Amino acid sequence: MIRGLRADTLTSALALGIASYITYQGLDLEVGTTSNPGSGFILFWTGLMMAALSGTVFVQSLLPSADRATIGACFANIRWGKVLYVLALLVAYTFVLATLGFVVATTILLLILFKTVEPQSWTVSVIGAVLTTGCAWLVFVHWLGTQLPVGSLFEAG
Amino acid sequence: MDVITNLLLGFGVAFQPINLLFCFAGVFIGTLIGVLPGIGPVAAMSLLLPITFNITPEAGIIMLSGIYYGSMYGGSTTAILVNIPGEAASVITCLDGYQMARQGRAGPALGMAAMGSFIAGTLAIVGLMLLAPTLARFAVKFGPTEYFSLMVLGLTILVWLSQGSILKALIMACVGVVLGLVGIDSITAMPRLTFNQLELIDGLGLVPIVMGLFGIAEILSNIEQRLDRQIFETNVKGLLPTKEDWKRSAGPIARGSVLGFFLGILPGGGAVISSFLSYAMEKRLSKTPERFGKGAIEGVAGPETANNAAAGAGFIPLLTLGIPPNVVMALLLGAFIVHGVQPGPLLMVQQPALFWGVVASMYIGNVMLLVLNMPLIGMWVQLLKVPYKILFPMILLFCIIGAYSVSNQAFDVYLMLAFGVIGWLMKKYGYEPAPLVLAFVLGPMLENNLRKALILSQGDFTPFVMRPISAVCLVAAALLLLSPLLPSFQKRRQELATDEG
Repeated sequence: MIRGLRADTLTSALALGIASYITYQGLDLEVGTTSNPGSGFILFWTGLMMAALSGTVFVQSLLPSADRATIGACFANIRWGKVLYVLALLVAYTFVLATLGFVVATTILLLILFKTVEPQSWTVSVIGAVLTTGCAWLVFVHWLGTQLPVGSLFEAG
Repeated sequence: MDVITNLLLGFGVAFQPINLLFCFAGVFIGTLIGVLPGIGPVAAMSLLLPITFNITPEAGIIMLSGIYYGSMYGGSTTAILVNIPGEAASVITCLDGYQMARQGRAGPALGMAAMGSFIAGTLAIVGLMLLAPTLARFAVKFGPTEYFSLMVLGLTILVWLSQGSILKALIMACVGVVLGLVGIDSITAMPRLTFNQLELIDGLGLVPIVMGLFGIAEILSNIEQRLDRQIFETNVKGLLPTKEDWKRSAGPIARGSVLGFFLGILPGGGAVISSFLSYAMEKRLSKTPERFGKGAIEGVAGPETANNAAAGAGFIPLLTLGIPPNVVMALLLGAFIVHGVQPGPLLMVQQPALFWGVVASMYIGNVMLLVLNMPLIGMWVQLLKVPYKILFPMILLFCIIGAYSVSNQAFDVYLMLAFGVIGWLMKKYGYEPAPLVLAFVLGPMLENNLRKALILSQGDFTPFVMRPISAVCLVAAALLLLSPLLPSFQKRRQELATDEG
């Protein structure tokens, strides 16, 4: 059902919703007057402008001459599994980063990415993961003084 | 005479070993990311921005500037050899550059691109050096009204040049302004859109947003389908163009330098638009326009010259007015602010060593780039052969390090991932990230100047249209926004529409 919907109709409706919320937030924060604009002044007017713009896109998308690209067409032939898988890996990596530390967490992440997204041999995956992590640590932590997590697991030990 | 004295001061700063090292690092990284498709100067500068926290402002700005103009050089290599532009400003170089490579003339194409870039880059720095002090003296007279109107014009030009729908680009600019206002209101100290999250009190970080919208979104776009990159197998020999090549390219190089320089100064303009316009101009002026698209060296020399001139000129509005004309300069503005330096009319007076040091480093950087691009072209070609499936985990890792190291918290990495998904979806639905990012940076400045102007005028809007500079900016912005209503202007805009990112 949703795949058959025109892309512009959906996105402009979403933008209209966001714009309404911004306008409401502007009002809530106090718009003030033109001689003494409040904290919500710009939010309110930006929200209104965005609502007008997205409303126009919404109406245009319903016209017969509008761009007929549907939601389904925008996402045709996409390897959804790969995209979601990589995102899930990155979220998991960020979640364990403080606990496992940069070196361990990054080596594992890269090994999994090399081995599973566009599968490489074990040799390439292991060497790639270890070398990349090592070089990144050397450049960013050792030379440039970037603070990356050591890992609470190891600190406690 | 003042200029010479100041330039000598600048060279004194730029020739300090640490600054030379960071200048080299900048142009090297710039060339590298220019060569590699999939990561542009915006993502690379965001990644390296946190690293500059640990070095002097001079070294940091010199390195980040080097990345920008270095990427303009590097971008032509992929365009000529692989028919894939390394970054957006080299899109047009693909047309004739790749055809030259197919005819066995990859060497002269690469050589002319490098030489043209060097000439334009150097001329742009001379222009910057001569024009910046005058503009800075003039800009001291700017009040909040002028600043507000100038920023509106800058945003409007960027929106006008965005691909596809102007309405969608304007929506993105609105979103950018709102995102820029997240955090504490600088006038009333009221928290805005923070949802009681401590991490949002200081506002959203520029780096996670840019890395997400430009870096992660690009990676997701590449992962969603198999990327088979073909390398055109050719021996790159004889980089020096022939006499005939020079004869054909002299005009395009001269015109490209002037065109790129003036377009680069305009807020919202930049390297991409100047390369497209240069190509169109050369084709129109040519006695044999039918050669264009089939390997005409003018089609390489003109655009490559123009994009480098524009890259150099883009520093003028940032350094003299404190207003970034494009997304890359917005990142540089972030770098200045992080180091406690406020770019603007007083920069030259208050921080002469920094200002002239950066200008002088560009001369040195341009020479370094010529050395990097001519003899090391073989190395860059080899690098192009690294498959994307090996590269993308590394690019992902750099994005994560960049986002995390801004404030050492995982929140910024989550934020980057969220904006990565948003950027990926935006791409699918035809929404541009560039207006969002520029508006995000300009949003707080826009608000401050508008509120100050209104308080000063006691709520009267007439100064916005009565003060000449402000009036010119607002009228120009209005004309641009209304121009799509005229079919001929709409057609012209579609031709010029490009992706600044």
